[in-house]
Amino acid sequence: MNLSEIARALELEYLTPALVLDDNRGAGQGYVSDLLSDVLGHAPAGSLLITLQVHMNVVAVAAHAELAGVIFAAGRRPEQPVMDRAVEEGLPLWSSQQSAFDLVGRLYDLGLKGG
Amino acid sequence: MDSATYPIAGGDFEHGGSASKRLKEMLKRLGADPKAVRRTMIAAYEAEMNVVIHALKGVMKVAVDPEQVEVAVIDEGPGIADIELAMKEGYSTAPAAARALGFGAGMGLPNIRHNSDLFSIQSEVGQGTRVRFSILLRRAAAMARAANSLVIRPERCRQCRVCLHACPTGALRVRGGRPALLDHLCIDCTACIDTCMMDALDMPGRGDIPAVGEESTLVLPNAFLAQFGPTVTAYEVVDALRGLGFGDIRLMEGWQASLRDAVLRHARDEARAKPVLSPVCPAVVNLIQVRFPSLLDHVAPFVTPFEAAREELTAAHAVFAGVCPAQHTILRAPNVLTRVDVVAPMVLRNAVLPRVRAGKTVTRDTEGRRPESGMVQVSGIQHVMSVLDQVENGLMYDYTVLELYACDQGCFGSPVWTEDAFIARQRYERAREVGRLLPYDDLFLRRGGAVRRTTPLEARRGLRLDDDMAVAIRKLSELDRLARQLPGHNCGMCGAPTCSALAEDAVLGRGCLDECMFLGEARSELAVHEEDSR
Repeated sequence: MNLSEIARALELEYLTPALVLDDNRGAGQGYVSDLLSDVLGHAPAGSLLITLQVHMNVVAVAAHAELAGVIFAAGRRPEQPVMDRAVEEGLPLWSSQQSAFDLVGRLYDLGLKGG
Repeated sequence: MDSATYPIAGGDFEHGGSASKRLKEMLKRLGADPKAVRRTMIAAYEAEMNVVIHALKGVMKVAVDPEQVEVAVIDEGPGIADIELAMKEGYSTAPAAARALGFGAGMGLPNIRHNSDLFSIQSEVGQGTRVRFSILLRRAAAMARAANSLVIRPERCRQCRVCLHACPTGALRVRGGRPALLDHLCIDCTACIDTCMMDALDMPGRGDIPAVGEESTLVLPNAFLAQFGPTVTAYEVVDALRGLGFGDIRLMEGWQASLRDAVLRHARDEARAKPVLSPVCPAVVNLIQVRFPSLLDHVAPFVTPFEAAREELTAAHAVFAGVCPAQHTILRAPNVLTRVDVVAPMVLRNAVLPRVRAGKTVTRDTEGRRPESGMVQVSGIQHVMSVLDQVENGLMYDYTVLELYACDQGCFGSPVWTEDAFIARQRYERAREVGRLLPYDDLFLRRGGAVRRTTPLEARRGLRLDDDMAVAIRKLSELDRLARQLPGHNCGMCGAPTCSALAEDAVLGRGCLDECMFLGEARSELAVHEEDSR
């Protein structure tokens, strides 16, 4: 399942439209955490991150950990500079009104697994 | 080798990660393996964020060669009071502001350690912290790390094959007339070098003393100070080294003592697999990896003192006198902070020798000299031979009494025992200590007498070629003539231990030169030499 399909299925709001999503790029794994060191140490490369953290360092961590993208849960939205930076890094961001728990549950139903 | 330095600003969360990002771009440009890049980035980012969270300012220094990347992150900050605690997952002293941003999970240092192949941390409370790690960039490099520094000079090999049996892991072969090494088995020890009479197996680093100055630190093996005979003091040696231009001189002792303390502390924990093995010798660490992998849990989690010395030195220039291939291998790794040079210990010794001898008459006897120390025990027949040689040469007048034993550790090393000589000796000493404390047990206290010899010792025939000295002289010159026809590599294939022993056998009618399988070869070489000299 590619990233656009996942985003559609979960009704995610796309925050980085300047990035055109590659239809061949998918995510088979996911990770949920608000501790950045935990993300860095344990999130599998190429996975989708679900988090409440919306500051600049999330982008840095996601880029370093080579994640496929980040979904901000519970209606959280980063500020514009964070989204700009994500575009620079080629890192797609989404936002969702759903809780992290519900997001993970639905991603699991779609076939994503943990690391 | 590529290197770079990136500044890190403390408290600047907005730009935190910029140094790691620049490092990432550098690695990508160099085409490093993506997995290695990811591990490097995780470790580098954590180290960088530690500076951002805790320190005033810092710097990330990076050195890359095709095999590995080495990173040092050095800060001016509060330092870490208890490093062992800081290394535990979940422990953090991050302020609330950092925690609110998702930092301070107490996983930073563990993350760095998990993602690096070599990791070290040093910290001084009130001064700062230095985190250093390196990561292998290729899987092939992981194998290359097992590589060694043994130097093989095939043209010197006379195929005596003595080295084959000396190697503890059976890593050597002589094929097609040349020594060859099975890299994955070699533990970088000195066993084969020790046996090779032709220097076909050798250590690197023969050559001149590198140019040194005030900024140069010399790291000295402890044994170096003891290479100048009984009269030259350690301070004279150190003065002479300063005279050669070294700004600072550090003894390995310093790192060895620290390791010993650290290992003893580590071993106090009941949970550790016992006995804890101290990683004091890099060749032994290699040996455990190759031959005793089930004991890896026993090895205390520290780098060897030699690696620690290399890690810790911040001098602009460090010169190491490596005494084994394992140390040379350690020195080959890239170094971000220090320019490293290697000097052959004996080259250094020969440079010091005239300086410590200047103005000093060398006496070779006991005349007018009082021994400084009392008794020394020497055991193991090779050591006993070399000490007796020295006594004969008048070079041992600093000892009053020598107690010499043919077996290792005296009779504890007899082949009749199954227990290792060193361990058996230690156990006995322990038992004796305890026994002396028990007032009702005189097992260790009862003494016998010393009995005086009534007839003097006489020389045995030994090496004399003939009882008639005139005949002996004639035989000796014949022996020399025959020995010159032999190849001189003491292979033992003829059945005599050395070439001169075979020559002696021939002279004394016990054997024949034709036993030598290299004789034709040696004779034709001799003929060539004679041809040349004509």
